[in-house]
Amino acid sequence: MKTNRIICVVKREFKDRVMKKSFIILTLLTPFLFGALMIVPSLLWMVKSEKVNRIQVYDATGFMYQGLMENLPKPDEKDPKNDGFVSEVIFSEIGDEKQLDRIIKSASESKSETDGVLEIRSDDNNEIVCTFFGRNISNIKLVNTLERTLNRVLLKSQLKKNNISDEVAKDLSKRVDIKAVKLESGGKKKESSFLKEYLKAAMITMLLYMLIFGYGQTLMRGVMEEKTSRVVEVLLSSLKPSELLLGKVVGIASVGLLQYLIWMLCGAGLFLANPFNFTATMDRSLVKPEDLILFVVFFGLGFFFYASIFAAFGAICSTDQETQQLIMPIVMILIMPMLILGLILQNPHAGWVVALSLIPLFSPTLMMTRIAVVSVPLWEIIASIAFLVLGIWFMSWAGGKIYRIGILMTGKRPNLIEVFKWLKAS
Amino acid sequence: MNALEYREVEKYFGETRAVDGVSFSVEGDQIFGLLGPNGAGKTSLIRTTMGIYLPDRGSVSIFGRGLKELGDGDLGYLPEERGLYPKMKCADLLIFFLELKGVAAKAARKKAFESLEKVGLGEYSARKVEELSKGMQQKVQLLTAINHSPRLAILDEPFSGLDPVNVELFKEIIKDAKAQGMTIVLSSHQMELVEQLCNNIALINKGKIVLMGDVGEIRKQYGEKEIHLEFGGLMPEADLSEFTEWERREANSMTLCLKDGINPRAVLDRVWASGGEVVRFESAKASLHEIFVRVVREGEVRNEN
Repeated sequence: MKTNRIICVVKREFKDRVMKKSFIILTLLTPFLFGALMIVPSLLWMVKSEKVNRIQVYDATGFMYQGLMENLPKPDEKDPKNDGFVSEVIFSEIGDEKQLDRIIKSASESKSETDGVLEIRSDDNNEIVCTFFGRNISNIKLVNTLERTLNRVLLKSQLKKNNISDEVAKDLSKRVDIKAVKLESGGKKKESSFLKEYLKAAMITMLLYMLIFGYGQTLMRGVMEEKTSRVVEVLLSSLKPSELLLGKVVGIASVGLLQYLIWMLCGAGLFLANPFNFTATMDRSLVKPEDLILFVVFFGLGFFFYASIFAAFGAICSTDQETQQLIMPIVMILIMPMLILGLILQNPHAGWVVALSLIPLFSPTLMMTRIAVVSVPLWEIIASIAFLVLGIWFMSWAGGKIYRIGILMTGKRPNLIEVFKWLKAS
Repeated sequence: MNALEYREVEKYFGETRAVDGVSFSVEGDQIFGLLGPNGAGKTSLIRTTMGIYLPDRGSVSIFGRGLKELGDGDLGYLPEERGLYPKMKCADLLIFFLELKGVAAKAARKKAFESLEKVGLGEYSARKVEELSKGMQQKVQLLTAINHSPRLAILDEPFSGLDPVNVELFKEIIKDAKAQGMTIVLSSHQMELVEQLCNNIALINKGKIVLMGDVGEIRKQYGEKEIHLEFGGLMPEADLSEFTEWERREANSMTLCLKDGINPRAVLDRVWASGGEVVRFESAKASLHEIFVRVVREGEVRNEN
C-alpha cells in the first residue's frame, strides 16, 4: 500500500463531501433542531397563555363555590411545579338554576365570553358530582387544577364537619416522594430519573445510528457511483482496490468526525451561552467528557466495521433499489438498541445484554448505550473494543474481496451464493 | 528494451479463456496498434496489462519490470468504457488524477489548466464534468491518461464516438505524446486511423494473437494478390471463382484476391468478354480493414470445420 495514493483519495472524498450543500445544511440544521428541542420547553414556561379564562359556576351544594374562591391557588413563576393556574381565570357564580341550561347553550358559541361552565351538585348518596362544560376541554392543566382545588375544598369541609383541626389535617395529608439518585463508580452520586436516563440513552443511540448508517450509506453510494460511472477502471489502473477503499473509508469517516465535532462545539456553545436559562430544566452532568471520547471511539470503530459491509453492497449493486433490500437487515441491527432500550435500562447488566454488547455487529451502538446509562466495567469496554477490532479485520478481508470483484462486474446483481463463491475463490 | 512484453499470458473467467497464451512484445518509442473484433479478449488483455486483472498464467513486464516495481506515473490508461466523476469540476478532476500519479500539487494544478487550454476546454475548467458534451468529456478522459507523461499509455478505442474534427485533434495529441517520448498502445476499430498512426500492430482473435508485425509488411504480404475493379455501367455477371480465393462485390466495384500464379490479365479478359465496362483497374495493397476482416473470418471458418 502506498500512503500518498491513499491520501489523494482521502483528500478528494473529504473535499467532495464537505463542500456539498447537503452536508452544510444537515450539519447546521441538526444542532439547531436539537437546540430548539431543549430551549422550547423552557420558553414555554416563560410565555404563559395571555388568554383570560372566564368560567361560570353553578353550585347546588351551597358551600363549594365559596370554598373554591377561598382556596384558589396563586401561580408561582419561580416554581414551575406549583399548582397554580397557568393563565388568569375569572370565576362568576350562576345564582339561578333556570339560567344554567341557557348559559351552557350560549357558551357553545365561539363568540361567547364564557369559556366554560362548572356544575356542582350532590347526588342521592350525598356524593358531590362536578361537571365541566367547555368549548375546549383539552386544557388539561386547567381542568386538573380545578379538580385538585375542589378536592381540597371538599376535604376541608369534611374535616371541619368532623372537628379536626387544620394542624392535624396537615399531618394527615403528608406524602412521600422518592428522589432517584444514581450511583456511579468512585462513589459519585447523581440525581436523575428514568425519563432523563431514557432520553439520554436514546439520544446517544440515535446519534450513533445516524452517523454510522448515514455515512455508511454515503460510502455505499460513492462505491456504486464509481462503479456505474466506470471511473473505477481508471482509478484501478493507478492504485490497488484496497488503497482506494481505505482512502474512501478514511475520507468519509473524517467527514463524519468533522460533523460530530461541529455538533459538539455547537452544544458546548449553547451550554455556555445558556439562552433562556434552558439549563435549569436539564442536568449539567448529563454528559461526561469520557463519554464523548468513547463516543468517537465507538463511532470510528463501528463505522470501519460497517464500512466493509456497505462497500461490498455498493460494489455488487448498480441501483439504489437494489441496495434497499440489502440494507434492511443492517438498519434492524443498528437500530435494535433503540427498540429494546426499555429492557436494557431495566437491567443493563443482564447476561444477554452484556453478551450482545460484545458482539461486533451490535457493540458499537449497544455498548455506547450502556455506557451512557450505567457504569460499565472497564474489562467489558476493552473486550468490546477488542472484538470490534477483530471484527473489522475479518470484515475488511471479506468485504474487500467482494468489493474487489464486484466493482468491475456489470449487468445483473450477483446472488448471495455467487458472492459466497467469491469469498472462497483466490 | 521492450516497452511491453507478454509471456504466455492466460486469463480465464470460469470456462472462458479470455486471453489464451499471448506472447509478444512492443518496442518502445512508437504507436502500436492492438486490434481485434469485439469480444476477442482485447480489453481483458489490456486490463491484465494495467494490473486490474492478475494473469492466471504467464507474465507481463513493462520496461523490463513487473507491475509492482513500476512508479506511480509510469502508466496511463484510457479505458474503452469511459468513466469520470460526473460531479467534479474538470480542473479538479485532472488535478486529482495527476496527484494520484505522483505529480506534486502545484505542478498538477498548472498542468491541469494548461492541458485544458490546449484541447480547447480552457473556459470549462470550473464546469462539472456532467455539464460537458460527450466529445468534451472524452477529451478530459484522454487528458487523464496522458497528462502525467507516462512512459507507456494504453488507449482503448480513443476515437470511438468522435466527430471528424475531434478525430484529427486526437490524432495530433497522440502523435504529440509520442514525440514527447511516450510509447503508445492503442486499440481501434477504425483501421484507416490505425494505418495512419501505427508502425506495428498485433491482431488478437479469440484470445490468441493471429497476426503481428510491421503494418507495411503485413499489407504487402496480403496485398500483392489483390486487385480492385470499378465499373462504369452494369456489373458483369462473370463467374470469376476459378481465379480467386475470395471476392467482394459492391454496387459498382469488386475487390478480388487472386489464387497463386493467376495473372490479373486473365481476370480482366474474362470481365471484358462478359461485357463489363471497366473504368478503373488497380492492383491494390490490401487495406488493414480487409486484412482484419479476412483474418477474423478465416478464424471463424477454421473453427466451424
